[in-house]
Amino acid sequence: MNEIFDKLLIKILITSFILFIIFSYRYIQKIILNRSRSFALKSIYPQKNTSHAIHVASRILGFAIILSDFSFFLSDGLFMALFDFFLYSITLIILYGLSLYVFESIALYNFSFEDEIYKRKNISFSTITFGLSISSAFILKKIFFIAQGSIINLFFLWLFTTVLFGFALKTYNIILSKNLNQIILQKNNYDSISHVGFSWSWTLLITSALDIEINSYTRFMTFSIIQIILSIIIFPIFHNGINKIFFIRKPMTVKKSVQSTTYITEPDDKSGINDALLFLATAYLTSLITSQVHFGSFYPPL
Amino acid sequence: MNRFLIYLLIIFTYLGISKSFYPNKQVTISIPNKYAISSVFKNAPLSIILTDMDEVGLVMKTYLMKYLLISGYQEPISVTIKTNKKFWDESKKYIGMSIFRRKEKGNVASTIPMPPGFHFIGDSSYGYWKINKKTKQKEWIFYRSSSKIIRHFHYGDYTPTHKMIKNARISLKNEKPFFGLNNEFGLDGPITRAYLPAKIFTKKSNEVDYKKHFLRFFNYSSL
Repeated sequence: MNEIFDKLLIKILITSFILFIIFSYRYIQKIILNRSRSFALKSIYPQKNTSHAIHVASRILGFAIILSDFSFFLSDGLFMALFDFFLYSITLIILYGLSLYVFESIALYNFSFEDEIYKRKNISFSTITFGLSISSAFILKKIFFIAQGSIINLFFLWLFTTVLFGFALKTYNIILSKNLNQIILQKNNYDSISHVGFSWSWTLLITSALDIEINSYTRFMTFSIIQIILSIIIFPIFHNGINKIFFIRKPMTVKKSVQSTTYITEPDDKSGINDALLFLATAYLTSLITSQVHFGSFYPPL
Repeated sequence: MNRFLIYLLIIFTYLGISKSFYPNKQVTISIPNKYAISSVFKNAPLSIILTDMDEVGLVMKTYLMKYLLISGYQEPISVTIKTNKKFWDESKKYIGMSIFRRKEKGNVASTIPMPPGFHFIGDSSYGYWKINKKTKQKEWIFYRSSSKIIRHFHYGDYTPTHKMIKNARISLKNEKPFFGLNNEFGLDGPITRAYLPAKIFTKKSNEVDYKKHFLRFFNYSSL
């Protein structure tokens, strides 16, 4: 009975420690993000400003996703277990903050957080940051798993995946033929969901391409890039195939406006959710092909 | 149209990068026909025996052949080469045979398939002729020092005779392959089939244990 009670106490202690880390996360966020985003420390009123609530909740969810695979090993004592957790979680918080800063700078470079979330209460904007938060979290979770405890490997993988995902984010306008700036300005919530689906799809493709053992960084990067290129080849086949099978009349791309370099998005266009779901379905199917086809002895050596 | 071109470019990029970074594929020598053998393997003396062959892949097959390179007293080397279907099919009937020979003197090369060891039989550096009292035939006996190359001929209980070599030399002069006095060598040769441990002979068309495969669907853990 004593042992059971003791175990429960230890678990409550660890829970409190995690809450302490989340508390410190709030302040670290303030340090990492620039002054215009210092509202991280301000109170949240979900009913008055839903976009602010979504924004902060998505960050917390992202942080929880990152830590969800962490294991506590008490064989070396509680202190060592908490120390390990502290070290990794602080590293991950910093990398998470930096990832968000980079991705949001790439995707939302035209907008300021204070304007969109505080003044305009733009749910479309916070939906996009929600998508980016979850994407960053899943990528970090994956690379934390691959790094196998090495902070150097973790840092290398973070750099690599940040570059990959950063490039991927820039393809939104090309692939979906939608103008992200216009979506945010028009507060088109449906199309902002398409961006969530888009970023999650890329997350799936990138994380599935990282299932390679790290023997050397060069080899790892090369094979990951090969996998991503393969994903780019397979993805349109699935996407077009699904569209044809289910007679989805909206093509993958919408034509540009006549003699214009910008894409026009209709304000009442509600196909964003459909786009997001199709993108996610396609990404799942693509990752099945890129990482789950095992040839085994199909090509035996002579 | 532009998208289609970009898609094609991505496919070629994928193929190019994959090709460049798979080291095992990169180092496989490609030999399109029998005349290319001479330019790939340049050392002399040299005898090449075709020891195995296989075709891998589903739609776009890769045709592989395994050559055993015997160069004088050096340790024989096995080399896997890839080729095209035409040369692979042509070579199939010569499995286990010497498909290429180059003499040290004059650097003369021959690609007429001959029984394994043809290059060494009759050369006093590797053995000598001895009359078999039972059969009254001259038989070739290899020196013990040549033992490391003999085992690669996969003769089993077969002993090369003077008559065989004589006929082989006539065939060589006429530029015709020679499979042995009683067709002992090659794809249908009983000696080759019995003693050459080639995948082409042992490979079964389907080795899947279907019973085991389907029974796993009904596996359950005990309560």
